[in-house]
Amino acid sequence: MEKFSRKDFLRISSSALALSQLWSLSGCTRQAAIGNHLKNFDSQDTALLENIWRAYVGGEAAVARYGEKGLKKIFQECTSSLDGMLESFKMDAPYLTDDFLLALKLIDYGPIILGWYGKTFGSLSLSQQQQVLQDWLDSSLKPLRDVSYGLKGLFTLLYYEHPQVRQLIGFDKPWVLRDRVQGARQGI
Amino acid sequence: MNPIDFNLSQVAAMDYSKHVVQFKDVNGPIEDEADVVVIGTGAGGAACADALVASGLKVIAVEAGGYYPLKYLNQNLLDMMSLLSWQMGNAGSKDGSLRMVHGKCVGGSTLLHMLTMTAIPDDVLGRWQKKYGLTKLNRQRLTPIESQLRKKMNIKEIPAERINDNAKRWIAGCEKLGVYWKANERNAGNCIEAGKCHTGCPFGGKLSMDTAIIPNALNHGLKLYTDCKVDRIITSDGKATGVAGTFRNRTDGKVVGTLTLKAKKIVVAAGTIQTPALLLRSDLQNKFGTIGASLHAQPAINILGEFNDEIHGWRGITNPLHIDEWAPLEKGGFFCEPGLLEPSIYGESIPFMGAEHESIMSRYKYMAGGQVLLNDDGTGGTIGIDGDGNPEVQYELSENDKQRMRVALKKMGEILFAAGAKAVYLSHRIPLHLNSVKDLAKLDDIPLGPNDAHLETVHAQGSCKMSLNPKDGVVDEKGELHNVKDLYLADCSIFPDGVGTNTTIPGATMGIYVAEEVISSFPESH
Repeated sequence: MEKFSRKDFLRISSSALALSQLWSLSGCTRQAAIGNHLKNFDSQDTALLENIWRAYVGGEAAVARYGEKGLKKIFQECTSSLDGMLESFKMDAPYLTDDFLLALKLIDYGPIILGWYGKTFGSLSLSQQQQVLQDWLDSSLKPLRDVSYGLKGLFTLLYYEHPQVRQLIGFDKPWVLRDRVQGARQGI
Repeated sequence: MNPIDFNLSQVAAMDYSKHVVQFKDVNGPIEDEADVVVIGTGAGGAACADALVASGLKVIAVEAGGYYPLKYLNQNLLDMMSLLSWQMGNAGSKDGSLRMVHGKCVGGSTLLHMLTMTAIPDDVLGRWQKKYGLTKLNRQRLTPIESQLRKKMNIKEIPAERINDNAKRWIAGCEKLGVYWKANERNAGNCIEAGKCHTGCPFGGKLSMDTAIIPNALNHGLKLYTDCKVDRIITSDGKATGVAGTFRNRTDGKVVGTLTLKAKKIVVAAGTIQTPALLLRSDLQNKFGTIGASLHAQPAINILGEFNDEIHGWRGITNPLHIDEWAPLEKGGFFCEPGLLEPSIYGESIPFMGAEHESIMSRYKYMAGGQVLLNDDGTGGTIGIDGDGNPEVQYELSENDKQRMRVALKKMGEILFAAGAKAVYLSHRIPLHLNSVKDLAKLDDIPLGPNDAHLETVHAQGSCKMSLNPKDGVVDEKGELHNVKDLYLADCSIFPDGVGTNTTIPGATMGIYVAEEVISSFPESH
């Protein structure tokens, strides 16, 4: 049986309340294009996504490997893949797209709502961001653990799927034919 | 002509428009009829439809996904998961603790398998006969079916010279400890060792159902509707009489038409996850509530061993062997499939954060990897449906499963250390540093609750068990539902318990077994 203290209860109920407000007010109900090539993210979201990626996959270490510009470009391309993924979810399981956008808000405002820091995720230092994500992975609250575990998987999967990251790791399987898939959606 | 060239040339030369009705051919309602309708074209469905057509019956197959000949496949994980699987490979238990990758395309999950072809083991068949009284599932009946599949799918053992360096590390550890291993048999075509078996091989390296079986069935008269999800089975007076489905556009998911089929017999082979969901949304749950009441997920955990020298473990044939020492239930009921997939697969599952994560992944070429698979006891999972009729899976390892999984991880860790590994990493939430055999004691009480370990499966089974008594299962020994006449199941969902090995051949075997039962049920002998 997991420990579930009164403090936990207060935290989760206040976060649920705050999230329901955020849900109705902001991006979670948004499905239309937002002025750039991305369908699900605006510039604020993309900055948040970049922060999360930095926290998961290395921050300074990754900068040293790819350069600040190079790393930024990798994150932008990962964001674009993520956007495509959310679009794809909409066909099979639209709730997954909504869940993801909601989880993103939880990460952004979580440090305030859950009472750990008085700032949003993006305003924390890299080590604080990593601490927040690790704390959630180890949380005694199952929903928080479920969300953070799923997000970590998704973010790291997209990052290591990037051709440049693979190349630097030394992964040298053949990598061709990306364009082939275009016709598949039209039918044989 | 050798079977590979025959299959591939047949696929290339096929005029699909003659045999296949896709979303783009549909604009409104379609009605059709046949002797038998088969729902699903994966291992079980394709093999079943092929056998039915060969007997002279008029057969229609319906597939929720599209038909993607080789020329449309590429090597990008995200592209392929989006094209070939349900929920882009992210289907799974409701709390996200078990990922259940399963195919949504012609050929089903056989496009996503690693070419490991193993028949139903003798000890499992013996248990099914003894424990459940399923005496028709015997060697005399199943061996000819397996031989037929071996021929059609070009199944052969991997020669010793093609065993890759990743597997060689595992072999070295096994030899030191006296652990039994076996080279795999596989259904390879023109394999160029591209390492993309798990996302549909774009080079014809794999003779999956879409390549090895379906073209032959189409040439013999099978009619195939693709991009059509069956919404419900139509029944009348306790008998199945037809199916109703909806066609959707592949690009935007919009409805383009409906399908209503009438048939004398219906075979559902939509896979362990989708089959019970279809029965449940057709309101066919029996009075004992056995549809979806259990699930043998055969969950797997990734394991990596780091060595001092470069291995480039991804090179060569990805999954060339099995470590089967503990596969029988009485020995533990777990096994290992050595194989180092692309870095994203391990990158997403190993613990650690930030610089430490990045540092471990940067040493990927020094790693040997594999998956530890558990023949779970089936008490921890159920499949129901949500408000839209889609599968809703609940899953948690039972206490017995957790204990056996801990033993399994320790055994595989010992093999890696015996082979010379200097560190072992697991796909677990807790960032464990295992630097020696002694450290493996940390696994004795490692938590294995939901979302503790990164569990995934491509071998789900046993959600609609075969049983002699209706209160113990869903279908009888012929594969026909206990509570609905003329409705059969023909996939891995009907296994009475965990088969304890890879599921393509066992699933296809059940497909042909049930097809034989369906054929013999027609008054005029086909």
